[in-house]
Amino acid sequence: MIYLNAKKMIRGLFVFTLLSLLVLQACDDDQTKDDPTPSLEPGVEFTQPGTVTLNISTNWGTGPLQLIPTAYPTPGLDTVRVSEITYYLSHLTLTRKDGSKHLVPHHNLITYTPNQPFEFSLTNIPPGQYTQVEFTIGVDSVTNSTGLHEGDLDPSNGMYWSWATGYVFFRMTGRHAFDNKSFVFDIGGNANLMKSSFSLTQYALKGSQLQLNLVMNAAKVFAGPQVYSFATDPQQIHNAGAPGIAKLMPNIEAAFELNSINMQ
Amino acid sequence: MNKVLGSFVILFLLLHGCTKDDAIIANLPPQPDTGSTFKPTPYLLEIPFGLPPLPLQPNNPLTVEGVELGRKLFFDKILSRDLTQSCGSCHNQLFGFTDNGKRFSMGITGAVGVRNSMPLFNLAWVEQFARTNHRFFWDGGATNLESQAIDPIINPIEMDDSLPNVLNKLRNHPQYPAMFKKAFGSDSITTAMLMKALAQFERTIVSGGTRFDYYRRGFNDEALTPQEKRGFDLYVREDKADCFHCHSVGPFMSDFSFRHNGHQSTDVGLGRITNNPEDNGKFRVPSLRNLVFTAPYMHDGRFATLEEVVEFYNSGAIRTAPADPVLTKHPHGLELTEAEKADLVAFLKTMTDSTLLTNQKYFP
Ligand code: HEC
Ligand code: HEC
Repeated sequence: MIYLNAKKMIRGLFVFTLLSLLVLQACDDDQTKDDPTPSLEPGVEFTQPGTVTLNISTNWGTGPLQLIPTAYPTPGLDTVRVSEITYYLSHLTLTRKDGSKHLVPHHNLITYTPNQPFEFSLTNIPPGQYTQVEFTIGVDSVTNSTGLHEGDLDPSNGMYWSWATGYVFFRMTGRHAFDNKSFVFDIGGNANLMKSSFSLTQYALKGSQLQLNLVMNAAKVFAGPQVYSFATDPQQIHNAGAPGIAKLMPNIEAAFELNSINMQ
Repeated sequence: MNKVLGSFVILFLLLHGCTKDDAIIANLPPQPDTGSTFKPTPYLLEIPFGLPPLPLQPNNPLTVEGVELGRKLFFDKILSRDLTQSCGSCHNQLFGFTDNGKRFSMGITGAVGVRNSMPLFNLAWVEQFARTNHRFFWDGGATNLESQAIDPIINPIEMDDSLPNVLNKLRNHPQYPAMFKKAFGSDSITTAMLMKALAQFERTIVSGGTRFDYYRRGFNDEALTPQEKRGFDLYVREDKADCFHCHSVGPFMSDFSFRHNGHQSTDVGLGRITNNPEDNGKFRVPSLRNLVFTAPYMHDGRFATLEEVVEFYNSGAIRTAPADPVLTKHPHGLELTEAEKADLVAFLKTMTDSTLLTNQKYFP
């Protein structure tokens, strides 16, 4: 799954990692020049090439999300029972003070398993002072133009539309009480790539191992910024142009919260 | 030397990428194990008279082993859930790789589809000349043959299987692991390899060398009869049949665009893929080769004969928006005489390549 322990993709991944390394080194040069004497400033500072670990818990509000049959009320005066949440988290990007960015190319398929945080690491983060972190929910348009990928992007993972080539970026399914029907949110399509970003300026940490503790708060998918209610909003979303996506996208982006970080 | 050069090119691309914020590296194609004896044989495809060279597929070059594997898979019912249907069931060579003259195809559960099965030949050039990423299917939903090949396997109204299950069946088969190893250098069968093998075989299905090819590109005036020549003249006359603006004068008999040809079907076609209402009702302009074998016609197979098709363009097609401008500029229809309609049909039949039906390379 992740670059660290993917033994299966052997050579392809090896080359890939090697190439990433080259990019990182190439991108890194001017940065070290800018910052000859590191000091503890707002943000996080990698004093040497390091690792970012993402730890993602899934909640409903403040408690861990329980799947069906647990029912949760929503602000849309509805009751929702969730059976699945699966999505691609991709291209973690760190922003430096001067606005320049370091993007790690990756697509991680995340499937929620109750009471089990999802964790993965991205290596070779170049030294420097970073003030913001962001990632996309979905698959970038180049990768999305064919199903010819392996690992997390293997179409056999079930997050692939064969009738309109491309990946399902985000899936949430379950039932709702409005008329006791099932709901399916399958969101994909290049226009629907989502992005969540977080400022790191309230921290002043340095080291080489950064852990980001994220919470995906599933309640927000229905709660905000716009209330999503099955009384008026679609219950079945299966293509890139489905009505309802425009409302769900900002909700899903907002569902990701940066709970805490630590660095060593 | 090449390798060194290649590394420089890659390095340059990478360094170049750094100047942009969002340098994204597409996944590299899977590489064979190092040190293995993996040496697939390049497949030399004979191109029929009238067609240009086959476009290169750097991500999936044709190999003897890959094509052989793809052909076996194409005709193997193992790709369907209950082992009753293969790709060949709905794409029969004897019907120009369409579904046995049927209007709609029936999947393994008895469910009937809503589109007419498409002929499979000269598809590599669709990939080369298409103007956008919308290429395969009547509505352009698939970007390349590899990505398309999964659809019939998992489509509940077609072969109704799941990819993990199909991969399992292949992995436990007495022959497939060895064949995959020969074709792709590894016997751990993956979805990507399955897609690639099917696409390789499909790209070898080529059709040309018709009487029209010898007339038009061989400058052999004798190749067509006087009636057929009159038909071609109508085909290219803007004040007559005016077909060529969409179907071109060859060699593919399509301009590879998506257009609304004046039908009254409620199928939104390309609009389903782009979600742009302006694309509603647009379908890929199909090739006009081998029509003799591929009846019925149109995305919904509503015309059984070429006479009906010609009459549709003559008088049946709607000639106001959303129909294509090529149609709306003939507001009263084409006003062809009976003799002219017969000439046009005669011309359409000159693009027939009967070796497509007998070429043993495409046999199961
Ligand atoms: C149940 C019948 C059926 C089966 C089985 C089937 N197909 Fe098809 N095929 C169709 C139909 C119908 C279409 C047109 C669908 C559409 O446009 O919506 C089609 C379209 C295609 C196209 C698009 C051609 C073009 O010019 O755009 C390709 C390629 C194709 N099929 C390949 C395959 C392969 C490979 C398999 C086996 C893995 C297969 N088909 C199995 C019925 C079938
Ligand atoms: C505006 C562009 C346009 C023009 C002009 C046009 N066609 Fe078409 N043609 C299409 C499109 C698009 C389709 C597919 C429509 C569908 O599937 O419903 C098609 C389908 C066909 C088919 C069916 C092929 C198959 O495999 O099912 C035939 C035959 C055909 N056209 C012949 C002609 C002839 C003959 C003329 C001239 C009289 C003509 N067309 C003029 C766009 C055009």
